[in-house]
Amino acid sequence: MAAVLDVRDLIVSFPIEGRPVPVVNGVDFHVEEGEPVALVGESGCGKTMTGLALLRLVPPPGAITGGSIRFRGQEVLGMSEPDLCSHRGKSVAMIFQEPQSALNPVLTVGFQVAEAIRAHEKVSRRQALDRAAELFGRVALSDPQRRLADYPHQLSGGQRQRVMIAMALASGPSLLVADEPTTALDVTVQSQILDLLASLSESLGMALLLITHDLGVVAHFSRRIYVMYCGRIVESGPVAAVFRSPGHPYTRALLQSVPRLHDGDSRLRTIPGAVPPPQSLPAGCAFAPRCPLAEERCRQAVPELRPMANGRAVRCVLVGGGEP
Amino acid sequence: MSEPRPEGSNAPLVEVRRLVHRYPVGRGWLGGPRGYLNAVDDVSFRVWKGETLGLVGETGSGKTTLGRCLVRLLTPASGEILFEGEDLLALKGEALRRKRRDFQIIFQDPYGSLNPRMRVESIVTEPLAIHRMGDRRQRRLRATNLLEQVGMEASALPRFPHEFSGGQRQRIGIARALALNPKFVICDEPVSALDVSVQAQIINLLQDLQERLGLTYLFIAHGLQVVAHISTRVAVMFQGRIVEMGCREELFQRPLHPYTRSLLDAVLDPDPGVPRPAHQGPPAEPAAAPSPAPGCRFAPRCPIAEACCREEEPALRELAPGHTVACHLADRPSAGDSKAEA
Repeated sequence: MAAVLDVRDLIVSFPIEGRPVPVVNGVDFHVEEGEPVALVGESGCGKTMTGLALLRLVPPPGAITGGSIRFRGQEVLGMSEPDLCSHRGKSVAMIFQEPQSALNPVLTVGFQVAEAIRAHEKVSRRQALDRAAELFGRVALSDPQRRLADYPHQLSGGQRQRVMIAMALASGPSLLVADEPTTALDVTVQSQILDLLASLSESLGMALLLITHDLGVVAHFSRRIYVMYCGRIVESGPVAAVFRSPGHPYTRALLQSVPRLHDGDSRLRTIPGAVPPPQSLPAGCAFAPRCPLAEERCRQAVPELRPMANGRAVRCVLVGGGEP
Repeated sequence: MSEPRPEGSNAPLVEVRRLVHRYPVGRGWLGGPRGYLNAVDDVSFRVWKGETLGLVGETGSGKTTLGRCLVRLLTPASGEILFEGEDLLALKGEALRRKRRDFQIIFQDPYGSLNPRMRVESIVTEPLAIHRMGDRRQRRLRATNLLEQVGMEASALPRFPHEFSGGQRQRIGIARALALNPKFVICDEPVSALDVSVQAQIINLLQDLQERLGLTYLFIAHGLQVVAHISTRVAVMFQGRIVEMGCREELFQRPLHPYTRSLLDAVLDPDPGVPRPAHQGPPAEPAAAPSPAPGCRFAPRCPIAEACCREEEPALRELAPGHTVACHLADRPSAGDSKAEA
């Protein structure tokens, strides 16, 4: 399959104490047509900035300072403003964690979705509203016609997220970037929204980039995984293989620190310390100070992301070639 | 961790009887409320010394309101809260203040619950100052000791909250809660705002402190995995009521209430090999209506609801030793076992 998105050596920097500090530091990844992919990491690892960079929406004073983002072969970083407008929405759409803050509280949700449709297509207000109702049906909002006239505060969190998804689908994007789409929702609603995203991705052939910290979500809703730590991808590969035998010590520690339903009284494994801030990353492997296996050579140079068998890659000098 | 005490073997540390807390809803004639929403609606339970009672439920189920009633941050409309046999709701002024030393609360948001203009030392020793305990030097010693207990160094004392990460701030919040040597600590979503790797550190810390200091916890969370990990017993809340309560193993292996089952089904295990159960029933959209329809509150979302569920509200009843459930259909074999085979 062809890659719908190909990101190479992406760098996003923010000025901290007067000098640019990379928060995304040379990230490579790709998403194939229709493929559900997960970008995983803890807060501050750069996953959200990576997602925003795909739409060139990195908030100032941050900026994309290097690399390339190719969408179906076309360079996004070189796009003119009008091209960018059609890229956003028509090629790549994005939904966010807090649907309530992404919606305008004083306009009806029908108006807001219709507005998104009219931004990309020459249709009348009436037609746009009809399309909005149709989209509401597709995201399984009950009674779509009546929902059009609702204001965001009249909807529950799950319903608001469905409205956001409807808006994202308005122009038929080839890739949907979902940044923590269910973190603010209750568990029962979470699985419904994820099921909806998965079924839409399949029926529309739309690729899905799921940005999340929740390994449970990744395990069940994506085919491939990229694990980020301190602005870099530290491991990538097919979800089943990475979860079965994580290669990078960070991935392994992360998986072991999740409480499970039936793990009884066993003590949780923890990762000592905390994620270092981007302006004071250690030399060498950024995980070394917290890593139980770290050796002297880990602290000397940043390890390469080395390809392994079966489409996997690991950024760790202690992991040999072949299957980790 | 300690075993749950069999009922009657000793007196409970906390006993809640028919607790009700209501919020005014809307605004009617002359600015008075148009109605009331019973956020906690006739809730009764006991907490035994040394145990952790987990409290789970979705947003709006009343679990946070219940926790705040227990520490008297909110005054319930009716009911009793017996702490070591003494009714907290009957206490006032100085008597209440003195009793308050025994129960403390840890909040969810480690960013919002610490005063940004106070140094760590003042934050941690403020409870001592309020209760006029010790002089300045003794308090400083106590602060150092408290920080040590939560795994932090004394060098943190003169610093401000913004200098710390979320996990460190939560440790400061825990130190503050421990300052007065409480017996009962309410943990209101203490790890929900933290990253996975830090979450585990805080959970382990809470367990260590419980063992070392003989604490009793009410642990409120919406994430089932965390509650399953830390709790001795678990209570499930839905729209202001406890709908099921029992030992952790019993409740998670043999859930009796359809709502508990839907919560368990929604858990995403971080193992792609564990199959997800197929979803049943209508979408879980919370009802906004302040006055629930007659009958079981879960009936509109329940996959097995029958006519009787819409007529009469089920009461909590004990179906196995220590395992209570509020569902008309819970003891029907078809209700409990159909999911296990599916």
